Amino acid sequence: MSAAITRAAGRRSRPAAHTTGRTPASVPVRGLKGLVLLIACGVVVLPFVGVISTSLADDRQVTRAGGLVLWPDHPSLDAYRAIFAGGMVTRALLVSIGVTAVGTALSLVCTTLLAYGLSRPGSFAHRPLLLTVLFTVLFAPGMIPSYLVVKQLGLLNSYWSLIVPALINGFNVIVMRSFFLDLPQELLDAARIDGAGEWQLLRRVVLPLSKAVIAVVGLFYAVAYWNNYISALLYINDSARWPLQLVLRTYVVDGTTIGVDSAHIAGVVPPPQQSLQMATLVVALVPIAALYPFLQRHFAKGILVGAVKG
Amino acid sequence: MSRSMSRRAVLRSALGVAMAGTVGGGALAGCTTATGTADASADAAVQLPTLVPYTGVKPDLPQTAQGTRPGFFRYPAAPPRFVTEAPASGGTVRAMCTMNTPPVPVGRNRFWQELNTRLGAELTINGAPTLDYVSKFQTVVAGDDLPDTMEVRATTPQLPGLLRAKFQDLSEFVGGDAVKDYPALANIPTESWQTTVYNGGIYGVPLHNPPIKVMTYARADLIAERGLSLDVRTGDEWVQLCREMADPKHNRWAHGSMPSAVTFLCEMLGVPNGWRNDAGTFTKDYEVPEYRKALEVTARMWKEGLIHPDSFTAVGSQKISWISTGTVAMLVGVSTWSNVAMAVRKAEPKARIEPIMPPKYDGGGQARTYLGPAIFSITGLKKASKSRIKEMLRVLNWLQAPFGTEEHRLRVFGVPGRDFTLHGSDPIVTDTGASETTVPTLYIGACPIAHYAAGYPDITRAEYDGEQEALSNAEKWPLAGLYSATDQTQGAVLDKKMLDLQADIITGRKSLRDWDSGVRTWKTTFGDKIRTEYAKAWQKSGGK
Repeated sequence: MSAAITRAAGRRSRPAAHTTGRTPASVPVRGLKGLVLLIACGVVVLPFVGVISTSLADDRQVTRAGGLVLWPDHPSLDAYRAIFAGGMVTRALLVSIGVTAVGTALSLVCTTLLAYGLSRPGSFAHRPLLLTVLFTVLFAPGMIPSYLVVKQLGLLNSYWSLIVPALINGFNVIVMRSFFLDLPQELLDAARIDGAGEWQLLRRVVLPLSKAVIAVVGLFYAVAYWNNYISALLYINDSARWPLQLVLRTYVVDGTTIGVDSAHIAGVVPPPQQSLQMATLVVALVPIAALYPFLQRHFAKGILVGAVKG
Repeated sequence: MSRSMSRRAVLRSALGVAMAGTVGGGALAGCTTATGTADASADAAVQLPTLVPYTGVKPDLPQTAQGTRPGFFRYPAAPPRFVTEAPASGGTVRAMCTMNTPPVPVGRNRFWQELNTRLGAELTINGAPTLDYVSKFQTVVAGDDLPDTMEVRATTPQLPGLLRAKFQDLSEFVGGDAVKDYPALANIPTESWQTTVYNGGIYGVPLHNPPIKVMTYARADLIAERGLSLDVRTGDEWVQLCREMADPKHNRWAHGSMPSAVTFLCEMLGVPNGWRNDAGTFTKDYEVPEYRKALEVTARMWKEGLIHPDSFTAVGSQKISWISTGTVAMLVGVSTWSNVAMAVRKAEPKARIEPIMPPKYDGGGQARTYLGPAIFSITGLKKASKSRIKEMLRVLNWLQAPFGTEEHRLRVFGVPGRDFTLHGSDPIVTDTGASETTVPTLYIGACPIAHYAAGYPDITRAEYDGEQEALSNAEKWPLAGLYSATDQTQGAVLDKKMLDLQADIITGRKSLRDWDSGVRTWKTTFGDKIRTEYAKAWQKSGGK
């Protein structure tokens, strides 16, 4: 009995090898491929390890290692305590999370509605609207015109100034519209015959079929809101409302001594700056990186839509 | 980093801002005067504020006629009150300035609340980090929504036109003896006020900055350990000292500051201080063969492995780590390097940092050190009624209260017992103070900096002596009182290109032949035009 099963399994496996048309790679070739993949993974992972390790290392080790530590000798959370001590990083983190969450939700609603409208042939002002969206992809507004618009809308120094100007991104609209255009027309016709209106079509047929593109576009928006510092720089006058990226930029790019501008005058020595900078990077990285695993399964499918359709 | 270092960093970064001729130029184009240049002859006739040095506290090391700042071994034990009543009469004072560390919001910040009480108004600050301040400035000006006071940098495009169009001429309020109504403003050195003169008026209150452009300092203890001396007599001796201190295999480098090391060599070689003015004939430093020689020497040092490979890119805090751990033996900073020395001493108690004066390259005494403009920036006042301008000047007078006064101690160190504790009479900032006192008043109004290293009188002394020695043989800033519209809009971009080329040559990516070609390009693009404009401005000013 068992021999028969083994033979059957053997028979089933042979056609599979035959259809691929490939012979199994030799051990050295497979080893080489594995090595290449390992190096590729290392190239990606090592900078992250370096950032996290440096954030946990002390000044002497950081300096000895030339700025980037791969494994801390005496791990310490001092840098994290320092950046959360004054409360400004905590506050900025909350601002960023709030703006990202609200902004992404609103952007998804607006983008979905616009993209769905533009995907329906014969909808109101279809072509002029589409051309307008395309125009914004090709020609971005300048810094000062944007500032003047935000000012005239009365949004200066408001969190809405971080959301409204970025509410709809032309590229994302086109990606989503392409996805909607790919949905089988027969399905939509069938729903119409069953008496569904446009709202019902969108809510009950289109959106459930579009989870992949919504996930991807949502991720694009979330990353854009999370990383945006220039809007805060220009539109937010009260530093208590600065998002994390602007605070982060101050620390990492300007090399500012965190929290001790004046204190330094009195001889207070801050924790090692590179550790603080790396700790701030980790704090900024973790929330947005945590989103990726949840969206991973939609990502490949969704991203291809924009890649092959225009 | 320290206040003064941060300010210098701002000046350097401002030079690298390439937007001057693009977005910035466009934004401020409406502010251009009819001629697009300042009126140098009218500027020369401006009556500058009378200097009345503050004598309320006695320094341990006196201020000198040459400009050496007073030194204090300890903070005055009983700081006298400088202002008797609140300068403002309620309402809000809106300011815009550099903000490198966002402070604890006013609602939770006892220091800020106390500051508001003492000022008699609610101080609100619209800030931006050093590197982004220019972008913020441009948009706020374009939006025509100016705050009461605004940090205006000297590198702002179309500056005379902008000042005339948007800011108050303060001549009648602070010119001559009128400044005596504001004793802290009368305490600002005249050389700083000179830089606020445009369009035949005084357009702002200067934030004083020591004028010495660069100061090289070194780990004297490490150098002495090897039996070497900082007292170098020639350029070759200095390079040899660098050779002795470098050990690249063990991550030890002689020098950690690029491209500032080139400036130190330029001083040794007698290169012009940015420009040379020979009776109206202007020569740029790039054009002289000595500059080429400075590049050649630096490139050789780089090739020999004497300079830290990250010198071009590392930020100040990294460099403090380097010198603390002895990774580098010397750095180039500014004349207020005591903060660095204090940080190093905290990390390494036996460390001793001392300045190095540039010798003449071929020997024969000390070379001339470079002086720059004696300001960090101008605090411009938005046009307003006379009473409002006077109120704003009283606010600035409070903020500029001299070192050693009770107002100064509050502004810098915060609320006693909460933001700082006293060690003897020295205020030492607490963790709370470190978060609260980052309200960036130092970019709105701050008194001339004194030599003071809390708890380290030897560092105060060394910094004071270094400044005195540097000022004893200094080359003045040749562009004082002169304006070139082209330099204002194109100079930063041109300098950036030349600095990039310089870096390529030092690191061996390009040769000195490329430098010659680069200098020719500099001349033909805007260099010659800038030269002509400065020559005309000099003639108009009466050739002084």
